[in-house]
Amino acid sequence: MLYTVRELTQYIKHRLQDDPSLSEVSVRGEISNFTHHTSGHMYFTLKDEHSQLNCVMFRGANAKLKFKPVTGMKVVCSGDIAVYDKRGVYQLTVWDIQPDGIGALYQAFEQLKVQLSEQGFFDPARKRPLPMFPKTIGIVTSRTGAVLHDILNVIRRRFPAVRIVLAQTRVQGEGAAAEIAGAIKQLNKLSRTDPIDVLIVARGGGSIEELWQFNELKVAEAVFHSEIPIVSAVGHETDVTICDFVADLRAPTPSAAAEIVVPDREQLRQQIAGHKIRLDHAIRRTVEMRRDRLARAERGVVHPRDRINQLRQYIDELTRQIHTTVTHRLQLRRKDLSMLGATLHALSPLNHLQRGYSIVLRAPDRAVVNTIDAVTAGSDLQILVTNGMIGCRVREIKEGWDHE
Amino acid sequence: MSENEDITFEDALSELEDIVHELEESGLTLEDALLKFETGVKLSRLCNKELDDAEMRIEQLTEDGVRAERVEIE
Repeated sequence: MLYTVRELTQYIKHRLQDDPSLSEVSVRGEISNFTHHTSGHMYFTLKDEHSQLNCVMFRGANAKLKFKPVTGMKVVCSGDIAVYDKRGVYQLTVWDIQPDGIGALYQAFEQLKVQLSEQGFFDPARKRPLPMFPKTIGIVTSRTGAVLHDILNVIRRRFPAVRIVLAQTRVQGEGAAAEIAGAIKQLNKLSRTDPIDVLIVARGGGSIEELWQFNELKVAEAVFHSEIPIVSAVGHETDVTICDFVADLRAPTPSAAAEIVVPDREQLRQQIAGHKIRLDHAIRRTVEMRRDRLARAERGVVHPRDRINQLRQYIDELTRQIHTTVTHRLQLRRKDLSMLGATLHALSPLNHLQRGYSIVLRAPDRAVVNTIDAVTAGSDLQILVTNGMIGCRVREIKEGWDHE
Repeated sequence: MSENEDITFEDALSELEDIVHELEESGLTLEDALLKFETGVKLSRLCNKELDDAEMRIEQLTEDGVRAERVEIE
């Protein structure tokens, strides 16, 4: 049987393409010789240790890929076997590629993470501190669902002295990323005239598919360019998204984000009360210190009036003392005097005269005559007795009393 | 303290903290200390008032994204 090349190729093509076991097949292998042509189509070879398979993934199909296939990647390709007439080769027309072992989304996530990391999206130096006491808080999340409710509850409980600006968006499904990015931009724009202090971008927990919109480049870029600090709280504690990495702070849950963003009113009250106590204490101490100092100083300084009074008192005291002394002395003198009087009395010659003695005086000079030498015969004498004087003349003088 | 009643809570609190420290340092004249004390008491009152007064206010970004309008959300 003689065929033209074309006829044989067509035959082979139909045999292959009509075989149901060669359509909608999945093939496991490693990508090699990967090229992403300017036309948008992808060409690569799928190989294992023994064989190779040419693959093509057309633009329409590969646009849906969440990750970028690269040479060396282990994958599972789904597609149909087809024949490329012009070159007489068979190939796998690929509709979808799944990374082998780890999920496509995970792969995409890792790739975007690397890319953004290289672009400095996660640079710790870029992270801004959150305001201590935000007055206005922007929230980007779905209006339905528990997340908004939780956030508002926490804020209401902890620190209701704030204004909330809600930008509601969808938080999953195609297009949600654009809404989230748009909301962040709009809040930033609003903030230029009506300041917003901090943003919370939040979503409840979910599968990686459900959280996927927060891994989109659009969201990452919006967060990156936000002038308002952003707290990202997407999913549960264990879920991480690109949005979390780019944000200034990642909160484990939406409620936690609210707790991070607003201070605790009760704690602040206690803090203020504590300050008040310290104020009272400090001022009391200050005043007491001054009072002590004043008291100490006062002990050193005497008011003039006090001094005068004290002097007066001193003078009074002195006067009293003098008076006492003088009186005492006078009494003493009086006593002396009376004693002297007594002595004088005792010594008075009159006493002797009364007892029979008499005093003999020499007449001219009234000298007391107590020896015979004081007189000569014929001297005039005066004899004093108690009641008068007797004049007489010396007749004889003899020594000694025993003359008869 | 400025007599400005519009002082933010944050500023009021940090000023209060400063005053507490200054008073505790006790390097002030009695007159200054009393003035500071008075200001401190005023600030603590102001802070408490800020905390007590405020009610959470919720607004929602309008469709066109240029304004925020008051909404009620339970």
